[in-house]
Amino acid sequence: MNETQIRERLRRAVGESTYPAYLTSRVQAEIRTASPERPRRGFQRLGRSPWLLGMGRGTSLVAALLVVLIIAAILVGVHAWRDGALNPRPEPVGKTPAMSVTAYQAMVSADEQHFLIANNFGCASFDDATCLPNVALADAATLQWLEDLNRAQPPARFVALNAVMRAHLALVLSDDTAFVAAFKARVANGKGKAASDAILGEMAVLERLAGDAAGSSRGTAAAYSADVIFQSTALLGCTPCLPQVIQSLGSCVVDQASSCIADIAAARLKLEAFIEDLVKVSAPDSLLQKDASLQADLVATYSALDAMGTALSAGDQVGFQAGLAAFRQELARVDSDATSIDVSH
Amino acid sequence: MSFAPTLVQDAIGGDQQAFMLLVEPLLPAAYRLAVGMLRSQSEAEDAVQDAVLKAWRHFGRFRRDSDLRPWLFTIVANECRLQRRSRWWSVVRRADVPDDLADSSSSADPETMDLRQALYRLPHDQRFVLILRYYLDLSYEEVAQTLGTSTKAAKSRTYRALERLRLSPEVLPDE
Repeated sequence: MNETQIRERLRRAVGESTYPAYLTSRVQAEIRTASPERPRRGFQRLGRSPWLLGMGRGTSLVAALLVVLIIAAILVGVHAWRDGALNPRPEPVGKTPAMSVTAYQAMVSADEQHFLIANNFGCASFDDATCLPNVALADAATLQWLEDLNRAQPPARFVALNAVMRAHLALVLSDDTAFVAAFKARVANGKGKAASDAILGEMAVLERLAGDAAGSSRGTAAAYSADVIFQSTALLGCTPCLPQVIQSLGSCVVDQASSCIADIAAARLKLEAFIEDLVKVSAPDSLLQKDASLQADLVATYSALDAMGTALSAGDQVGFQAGLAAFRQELARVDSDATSIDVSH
Repeated sequence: MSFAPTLVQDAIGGDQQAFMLLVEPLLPAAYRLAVGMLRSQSEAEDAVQDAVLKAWRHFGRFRRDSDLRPWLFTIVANECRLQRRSRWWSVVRRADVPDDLADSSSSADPETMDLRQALYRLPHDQRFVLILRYYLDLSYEEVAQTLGTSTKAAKSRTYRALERLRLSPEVLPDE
């Protein structure tokens, strides 16, 4: 089937609709009553961030604290993994081997389906007796997925993605806690709505990440290398890019941290995009070792960013500067990894 | 689409009229994208309205040397994703997606109806890439720009989505 035939079939399937002229005036009216968010103010600025989407300040703080714990766990795991993966030593007897790619994909896909189905409910009112039991079922499905990922020894191509999925699942659990608290307190809108929106945002991210895992395919050296170079350029050589973010972060003062937190969130999104691309077009055999090094450094960079966020939230200027130094160091490693993968010359 | 730098600068500075001058020409395409993603005209209107409002609120984040269209499309797509589910005071089930465009294709052949159902069972990102490419007629370069990925990756994603719909594309991922 050629492109024209595909286009015709898809258009028939979707159907046609005419642009309603009144929508322009509706939008104009909406804009007139709204003010742009200027200057940057707290977490509100992170409205579209999958990490802090739609959260109220309270929810955000809970999430931030949870992120500290998760990242600490990830850091320990990553360093342990790096020691093993990058400094090969004899395998200890009885060490669990990495799962196969298909087994890992099947596990993620099954957990994702269970998670989405369990989270697929609505609460009709504060008196809706099915609401909290449904949240409990959703939590159980979320925990199941998280535990499976914690237990899994992921195949090399999914190491970084595994860490990112775990972080987002933990955020869902903290959002659920906020949701239940708001429901029990019969708080209309406000925190409950914010927690609900945050869960939706996390669900969308997790759906995408699971889709990345399911659709992962082995690339050629040229295709994989091109993707790595594209993403590392987006990370390090774009406008805006991380060096600019770093420059901006260098002047962060913890008690005026809102714009810094926004910068950290933006940097995190870029890192996640990079990690996702490594899964979509995974490394060929000839580049597996370099890919392992890149993935480990990306996770370490991701962890350093969160350490900075945590320090900011805690008002810890020294911790923040230490995180920034680690972030710079890890980013340089990512750059070096990407350069070593460039097979275009 | 390129705009006068002063218009962008004014909009970043909080000028509502400048912002609307930038956004208005993009609204029909944004609406078309939302219709393609949601199957519901009323939900598409809400999604576009919410997306433009978010774009306005976050316009300080827009880089003046960037293209506005992919930036707005990304926000619209995200709104479409959120429109589909809400836990708070609503009863929404994934299977109960509104379908008020169904009338326009109710007389369609069973094959088209099957394709329609399969399209809306696709993960959000795969449906997004197909709507951009085949419903909005974007080039692969524009699709890549909207997705924030390489052209090659955009082609590859399109190919995988088409395969999932069993449309057997003649195009190859690296073509």
